[in-house]
Amino acid sequence: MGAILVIDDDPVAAKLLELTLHPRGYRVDVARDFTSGRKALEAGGHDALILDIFLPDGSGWDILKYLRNELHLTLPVVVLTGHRQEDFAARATEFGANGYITKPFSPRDLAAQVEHLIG
Amino acid sequence: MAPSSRPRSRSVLERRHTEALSSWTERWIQTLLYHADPPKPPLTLAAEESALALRDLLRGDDGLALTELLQGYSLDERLIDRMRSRRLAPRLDALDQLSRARFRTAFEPLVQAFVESDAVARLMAGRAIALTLADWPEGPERDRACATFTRALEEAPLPSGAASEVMQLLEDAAPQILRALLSSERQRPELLRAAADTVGRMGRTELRGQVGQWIAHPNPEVRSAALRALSRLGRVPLNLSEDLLTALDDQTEFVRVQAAHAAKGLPQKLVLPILYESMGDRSWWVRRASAESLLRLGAGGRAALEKAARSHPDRFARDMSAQVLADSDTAVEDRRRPIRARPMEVPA
Repeated sequence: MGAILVIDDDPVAAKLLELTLHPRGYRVDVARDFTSGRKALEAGGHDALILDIFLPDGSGWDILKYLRNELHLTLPVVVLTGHRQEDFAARATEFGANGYITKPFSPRDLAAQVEHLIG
Repeated sequence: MAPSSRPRSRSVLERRHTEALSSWTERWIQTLLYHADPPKPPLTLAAEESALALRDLLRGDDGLALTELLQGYSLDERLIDRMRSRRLAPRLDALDQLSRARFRTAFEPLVQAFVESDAVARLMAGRAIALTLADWPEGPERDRACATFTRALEEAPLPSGAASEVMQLLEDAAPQILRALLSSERQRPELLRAAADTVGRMGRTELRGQVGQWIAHPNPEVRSAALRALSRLGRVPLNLSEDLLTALDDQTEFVRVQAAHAAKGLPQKLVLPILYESMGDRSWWVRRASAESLLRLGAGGRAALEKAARSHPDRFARDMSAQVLADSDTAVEDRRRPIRARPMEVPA
């Protein structure tokens, strides 16, 4: 059905996403930090990205900007973050994300959103 | 070779622990989402740790189901016992775990800990209570719990910032508590300030009137917080216009700053001449806030700002208007560049 890249340093969140999306027919690749996430995006082959903002070696915002402005990729992006700064949702839209979800989250709702975005 | 074998054995232990956590996380997810058999008691520490980390991530029915499952292992009772320890470290550890678990059975003991504890434990108990209430289904039981926590907040002081942090965790349970705190005439100023800030940060427009009544409070911190909240909420009720315009002449600088920000929520006709005048305030911050508010008032506000840049009688007002106009043009260019060049395509 499609391949989804998850960039999230939280192993529990990554496992939850993997076990939610894989049974729905998606291949799920997980990157735990900024550097490996960027490499995975450069390698290509993903239909959607689920992106955490605070990564150990960089910012998810920079990944989003890199994806849109340098790699010129249009794949759907859902920002998934545990931080609730007031301006985050607006910033996510401004930088080209298609969805914005805060932790805690419902894995079923997130899967539905990804399915909707991939089509 | 003892010195080198010790770190190696530690890393082996850490790796094993990480593997155990990963394996338990998978097992809990299988139980929750795919109805696999739940683990048999007693739970290992790794099983508890992974379950609580997972619980902290889950919203809605899946989260409630995991909480219920963990109660079946009496984890709530063990954590409540540990929370009553006389030693600080296990007490704080238990409070942290209770905030992840969201056990409703721990609510009353947590409120007791909130009222009786020292500052650090009180903040942690407050966080645990707020997260528990946030996941509590609506109904009379939650209403009673909210009323209990409101009384606890009034009884046991928290610094204003900490109280606001706790209140923001309440999510859908927040309005009931905020409304109660904001409607008490004899409320402590720190708590009023925290409640007003929370209303603004959470964008709770239904509490606009409750916040607005405090913009003329004797305490400048409260006046400032109420005005800041109104500014975040956007529109300002017309019945508050007189108090808001008075606040633009407040003797405290930071109150005038917030009043200038909030003024953009009043009807343009009323506020344009006032903001134009406050561009000549003695404070750089008030001039800046007035100019930014004018800019957000659409074409009329921008025209007023351009006029101020040309012909305001105050030289500093002219400089500030020109600066804010220049900054806005740069910001618009920065935002437009990538979007115009590469419009995003969302698959149908």
